[in-house]
Amino acid sequence: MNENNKLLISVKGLDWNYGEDRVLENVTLDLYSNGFYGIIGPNGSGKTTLLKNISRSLITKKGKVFLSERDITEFSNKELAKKISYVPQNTNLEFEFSVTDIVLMGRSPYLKRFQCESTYDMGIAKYAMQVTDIWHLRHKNIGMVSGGERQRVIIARALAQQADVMLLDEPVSQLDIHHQIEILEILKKLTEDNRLTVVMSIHDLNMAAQYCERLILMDKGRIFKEGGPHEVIVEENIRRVYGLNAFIMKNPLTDKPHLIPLRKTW
Amino acid sequence: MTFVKKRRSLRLAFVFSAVVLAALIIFSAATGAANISFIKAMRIMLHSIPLAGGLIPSGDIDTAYSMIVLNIRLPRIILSALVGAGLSVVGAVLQGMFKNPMADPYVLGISSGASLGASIAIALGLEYAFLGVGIITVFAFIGSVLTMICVYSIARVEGRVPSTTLLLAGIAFGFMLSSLVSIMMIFNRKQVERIVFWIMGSVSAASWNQVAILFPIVFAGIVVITAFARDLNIMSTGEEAAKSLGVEVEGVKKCLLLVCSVIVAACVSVSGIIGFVGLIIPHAVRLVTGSDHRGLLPLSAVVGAGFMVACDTIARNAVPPVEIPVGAITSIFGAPYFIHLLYKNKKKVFG
Repeated sequence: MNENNKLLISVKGLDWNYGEDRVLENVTLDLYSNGFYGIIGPNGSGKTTLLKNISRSLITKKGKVFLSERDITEFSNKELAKKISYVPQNTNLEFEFSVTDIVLMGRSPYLKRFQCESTYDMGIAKYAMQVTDIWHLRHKNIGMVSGGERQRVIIARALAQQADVMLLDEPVSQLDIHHQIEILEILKKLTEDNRLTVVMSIHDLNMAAQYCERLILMDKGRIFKEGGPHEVIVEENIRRVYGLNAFIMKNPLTDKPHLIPLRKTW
Repeated sequence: MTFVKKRRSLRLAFVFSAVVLAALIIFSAATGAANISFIKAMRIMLHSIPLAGGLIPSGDIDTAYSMIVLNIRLPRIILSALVGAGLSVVGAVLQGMFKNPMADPYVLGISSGASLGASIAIALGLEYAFLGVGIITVFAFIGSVLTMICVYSIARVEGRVPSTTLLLAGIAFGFMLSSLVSIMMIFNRKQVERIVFWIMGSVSAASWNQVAILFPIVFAGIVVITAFARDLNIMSTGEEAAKSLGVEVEGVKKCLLLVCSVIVAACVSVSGIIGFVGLIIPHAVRLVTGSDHRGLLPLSAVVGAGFMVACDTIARNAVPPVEIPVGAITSIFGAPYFIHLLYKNKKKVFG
């Protein structure tokens, strides 16, 4: 990490159970400002639960997650919404809202109860829509846009929150390859131009290696390895965490590790 | 179109519906067995307004007519308007909160609780009044409040109220209470008709006392609910997302549930179970306003009130001297109209 990047979020010895099931075990993690983090790991390794604990979607325990050195449980929902935005995996959008209305919802942490969105809020929403390339959809009904567009609308809404950190739970897992690239490019650009910190869970290891600066490899509720793509995506780690033999080469275009999974009976 | 841009046309729609509602109220006050003209009814009503009323010449107004309009028809009209407004707004809120188009004010079993309370009072023959309000109404209110407390406690898990659990608890508890009502009817054959008519819904027992109790509850309730309109918008896109957008989801939910339950309990206690209004009016209004609760809630209140006034006018005048339960009228006239709307805008209702 760069020297002038500040410690933004630190997780200290976080455990989490769903009833009897232990999902997270003693997770300790530091996230610095302006980073692009990818959380990888098999299904059920605790990626989403970790994100939900940081975003406080779950009732996070006291003294475990700190934002700028302040316990996250001390924030009100509104205060937290100005610091951390969260893009969940599934967003229910059955009601009739226009794309602009959805994006404007991102301004709600800044509005008083009976206050209506001002032109200032509209300006921020417009910027968020332009960055995510959905400005042309602004009058459309959210039910009428495609999956890739909808994901960008939700990212634009999170962007309108003007938070320091954006957490995304598998933002590209339901999209085709073209739209995956599109979303990841937008996120990359946001970390570079807007000094946003992005933390996302992602299944595609090659995408993760190409876009993220730091990878957090999770295994059975623990952090197995944290580091740059070259340190994390290595054959030994993949075998031990995924139980999969893989051949890892260097992507000739990006110099990043590129993984080719091997058949079990090779 | 965005809400900000729509605001002007929404205001127009609101004013227009309010004018229609006022006209409906006057028309309804002029309609009935005694032959009173529209103008006369309006003059009687204006004359009764304190201070300003003195400016209206009373002239040829018969005191008997005055009595009929002011003490018999008007309380009933206002009461039905309040019930319509309350049920419609609650329906809109619950549909948004549960993200379920089938939700209506009775989905939490409150109506069954009220029925059971009323049935007990009827079966025990408690026909007298308490502070100007029938004891049956009081029992119905107690029944609905107890039901509300039970359903809520069943559904609560560690300080949270998951929507699905709440819905299912409400439905299950409602069925249980309804079967108790059926059993009560079997054992009180003589009172079956009274119980059935109470359940069918009617505002024929209206009095100014009831209006005086219902008005503050419904009015304050709607104001509180409207204050949460933006939170409701965000919550209708998912509770998890709403939380990360700064909405105190659980707090908002509890507050809205409490306010909605009190409104429904109060409405049901005075009018019985009037179906359809709380389910369909919000959908009909949504076709005009879209899903934004800031437009949907106020307009639902006015349209619901107007719809109920119209239905009750039909209920008491369609086949005199028999009164049709207004609950039947709402569905007979409302359903075909809604089906027509649905057919015209096939895809628009829910995304």
